[in-house]
Amino acid sequence: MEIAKRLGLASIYSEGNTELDWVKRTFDATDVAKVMSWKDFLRKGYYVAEPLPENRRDPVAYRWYYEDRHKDVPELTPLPSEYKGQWGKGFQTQSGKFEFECSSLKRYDPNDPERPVICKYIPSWEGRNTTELYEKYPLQLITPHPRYSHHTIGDGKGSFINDVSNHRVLIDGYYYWIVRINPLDAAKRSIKESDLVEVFNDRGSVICAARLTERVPAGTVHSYESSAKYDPIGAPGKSPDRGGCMNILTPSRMIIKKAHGMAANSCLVEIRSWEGGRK
Amino acid sequence: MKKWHLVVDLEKCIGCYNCYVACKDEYVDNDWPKYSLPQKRHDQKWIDPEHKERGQHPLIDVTYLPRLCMHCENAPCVKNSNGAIYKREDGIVLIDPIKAQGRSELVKSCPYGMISWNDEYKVPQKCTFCAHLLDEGWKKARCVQACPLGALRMEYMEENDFNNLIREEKLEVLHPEIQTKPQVYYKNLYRYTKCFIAGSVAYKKEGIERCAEGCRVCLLKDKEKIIEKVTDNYGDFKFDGLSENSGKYMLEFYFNGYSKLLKEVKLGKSINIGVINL
Repeated sequence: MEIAKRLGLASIYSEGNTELDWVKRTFDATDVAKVMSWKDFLRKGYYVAEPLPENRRDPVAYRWYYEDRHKDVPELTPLPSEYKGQWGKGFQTQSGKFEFECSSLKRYDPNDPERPVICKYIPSWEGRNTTELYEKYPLQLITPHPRYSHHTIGDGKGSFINDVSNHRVLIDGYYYWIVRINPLDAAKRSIKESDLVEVFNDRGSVICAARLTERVPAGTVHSYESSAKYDPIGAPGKSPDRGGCMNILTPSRMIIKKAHGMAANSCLVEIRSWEGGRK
Repeated sequence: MKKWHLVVDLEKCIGCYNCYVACKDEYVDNDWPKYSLPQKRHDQKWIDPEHKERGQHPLIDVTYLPRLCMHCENAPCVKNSNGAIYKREDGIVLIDPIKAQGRSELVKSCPYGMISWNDEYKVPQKCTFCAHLLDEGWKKARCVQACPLGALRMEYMEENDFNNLIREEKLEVLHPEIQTKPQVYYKNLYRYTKCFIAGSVAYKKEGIERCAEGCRVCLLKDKEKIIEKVTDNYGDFKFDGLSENSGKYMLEFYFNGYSKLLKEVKLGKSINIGVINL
């Protein structure tokens, strides 16, 4: 309206109406006008709409299945494979039912030790039970998506997101990535808040700023993936990275052989103070 | 005369830093003549959520306290500035970007440490409450507009009305001992200034440790009962709002079928006393 006014088109744009006129026109177009007058509405200022009758409410997810009816929840692209047998009935599973034992896996590879047909706990190939490795690298590293940048967008590159104190820490003129460690683990390694530390395993090493926090239990360390910066201090691929690329440390294998899924959270590391290269 | 106030609710702030990003977006590379020169991309934070953790794993909480210019009634920066910093009738404290040129000593005049030095333009700077926008009819500053949880809000009110709000919502100022009468108020400030005693209660049944839900826990100081709580379904309890370093407390545990248990706690900072086995 303000823009239209400046362009000299206000009365054409608003059809000669004021803002309040428009509110009344909208009011008249609703069902509220049938139950109360415009004057009463202005005086009261609001109208509480009654809930819809039961038979007109949105369907509850999966109730169609529970009550053995045809599927009644919105579906963008219904395909024959979505149902078992009759159209609109049953789940997408091969039995059409909720499966504890997965029938498609039974057909595909029932004896895959990495992916049994029933959900169960399998000790990780890189975790507390891998004794030899665990002795060398006793900290489990988890690397979720970053909180303050969107993947690598917004990180590094001189962005002011770098200054967010939970994103990077400025030490001696350099913005370091953060690794979060429980105070008990930090004390064992003589690490203090905002110390530079080297997070490492056989795959490589990353230099980070330490953040002591109770938000991770002892034995676990936390750092985001998606640093936008790879900045090796020596030969690329052969020296510690101070940009913060935690995926240097995480396994690049798939979680199992016969499916595509990354295994970034099965990762053991050790942490030690870093003095090298610090001015 | 109506005045601008900012209210921060610490129970709502999740530390998303949207306020900080909105502030940078409004002021970095942007000159608002008479109000402010551009803010630096780095080294300056006109609004800065500071984070604080309380307790020990797993009974902890995290609070963010956005710090910014307090727009004080008795602002020491105004007093010391010979007119380079002034307070408007609507309560907003502004640094005159021309008169304050080269006045780096003004940085130290803020007891809250919220004035920073812009070495590019040689001028002290701070939050302006987005006065250039409010003067154009905006109802809130950029940081307030960007807050997704409504943790920040602005109130344009007569002093009496705002005093009622202070009473109703139990608003507090940060560091009242400085006595500068800030116009930035905090709700639920205990999350930042006070501490808690928390713990979990468990009992054994058929050799298995179970959460003691519904256990009555009393907190006593100098043999007098202060407050009583009942554990939740995880057997957890939490007494909040206690003063730091307030010394010895006694906890009493009452659970059906078990004899009364006592536990003494010395309170420094927030503490998770761990699992109490009945």
